[in-house]
Amino acid sequence: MRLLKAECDYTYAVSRIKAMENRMVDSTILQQMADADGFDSAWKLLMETCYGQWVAETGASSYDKLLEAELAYLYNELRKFVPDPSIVSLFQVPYDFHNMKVVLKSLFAQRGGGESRWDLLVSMGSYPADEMILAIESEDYRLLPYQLHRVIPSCVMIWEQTKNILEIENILDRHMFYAMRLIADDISFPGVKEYVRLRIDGENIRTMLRLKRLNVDVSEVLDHLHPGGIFSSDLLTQLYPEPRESWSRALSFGYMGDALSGIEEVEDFQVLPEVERRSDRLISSYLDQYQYDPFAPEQVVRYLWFKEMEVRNLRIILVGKASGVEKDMIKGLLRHAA
Amino acid sequence: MEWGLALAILGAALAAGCAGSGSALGVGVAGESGAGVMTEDPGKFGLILLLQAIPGTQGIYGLLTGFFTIMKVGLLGGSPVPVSLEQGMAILFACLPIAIVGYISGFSQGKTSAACIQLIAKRPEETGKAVILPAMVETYAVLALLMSIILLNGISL
Repeated sequence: MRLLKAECDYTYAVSRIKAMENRMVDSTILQQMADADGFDSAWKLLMETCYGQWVAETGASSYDKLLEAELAYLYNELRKFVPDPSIVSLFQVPYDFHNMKVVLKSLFAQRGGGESRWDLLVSMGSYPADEMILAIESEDYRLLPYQLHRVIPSCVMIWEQTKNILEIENILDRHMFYAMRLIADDISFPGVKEYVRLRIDGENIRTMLRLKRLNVDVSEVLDHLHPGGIFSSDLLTQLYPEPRESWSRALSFGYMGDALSGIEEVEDFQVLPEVERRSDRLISSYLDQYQYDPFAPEQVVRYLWFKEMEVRNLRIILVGKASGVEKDMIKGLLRHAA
Repeated sequence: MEWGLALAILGAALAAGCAGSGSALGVGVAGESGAGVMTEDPGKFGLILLLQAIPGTQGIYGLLTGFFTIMKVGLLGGSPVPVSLEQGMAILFACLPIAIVGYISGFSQGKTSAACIQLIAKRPEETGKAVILPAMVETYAVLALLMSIILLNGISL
């Protein structure tokens, strides 16, 4: 009986999510927005979707605030009814770490006589930004989430000694994936764990490509890779000195290896955005296998992932329209929509 | 009380209890699904209610079999007929098809209904098909009910 019940724990959540999916911006609207004559036309189309409500409710005037309002609402709402809210936390972790970077940089700027940039804080995280600021300013790190008390003192020390902000960002990024792994380890659903592994693999592959472009020495590569993916850090480090074209074959055993297939045919300057687009598509394809399982907790991950993709697509279109980028180029950058 | 009568009562209790439990689980799962969809779209109440009610039939079949059994042994009128041990066991076995199939099919139908409620949440125009899918599960509950009734009819007291 308990087994039968456990199988259906996510029935309410998945059903509600299925109803919520009707409000998503589908690919037809995205194409119409990309084809719009200018920013105003694209904005007008956006106002006809679920994003339009935020103009009246929050008075958001910029698209950034609008997209932020929708995601913040979504995360707060899902946390209320998803049986295990830590699934939602997985998607909020990057925003918490973004806020932490903003707070730390503001602190460093203040110490150097500069100004804080609280305007860069976002509301999509699971931890209140105010408490984060308070903890950092009072140097009381114990209450910070994700075991951040273990890394913040070393970040402050690095700044005081070397002023190397890239190293601090690298430490925080590494800890972010560590925090995601910790959350996923506590969740018993295989699709959730696999999602985190795929995210780590995608990030590691992109990091390798960036480092290769900058001709960074192999001895420094390991410091930039995140453990916990299907591709071990050791394997990736061994692969790094090899030509980029051979990586695909060596990584073909893993799901994310496909992101590199045929990469030699892609123009050099387009490799990174193309690999990023492909890795997003691969994660979408992976999560799509749960699309028709009416009781799968992974449906929550799938919905949140596609919502993130939707926001990313809208941002690409609106930024593109505001900067006068050509339609075809905007369309080429769009991710797979739900 | 004779052992035969006790076994007959056990059969009736299992038929009503197991089939009713299956229905309760099924209606519960479908109800959870319906509540999820109605939170976002209350206008679908009518369709959801229909789909939620479908897994409730197994409970009715179980009750029917239970009634049939206690009528057969004369408990309903307050004057039970003598039932031998063999006859009691036969009645118990006759009740098992609807008890077992009612429990499993009730829950399975509930799951199918829940999935179909999700279907109409996404595609309201497919309501007709959404009702047919859980009804397919019903077939086996009806077959089990038939078998139980035929078997009970075949036992002469």
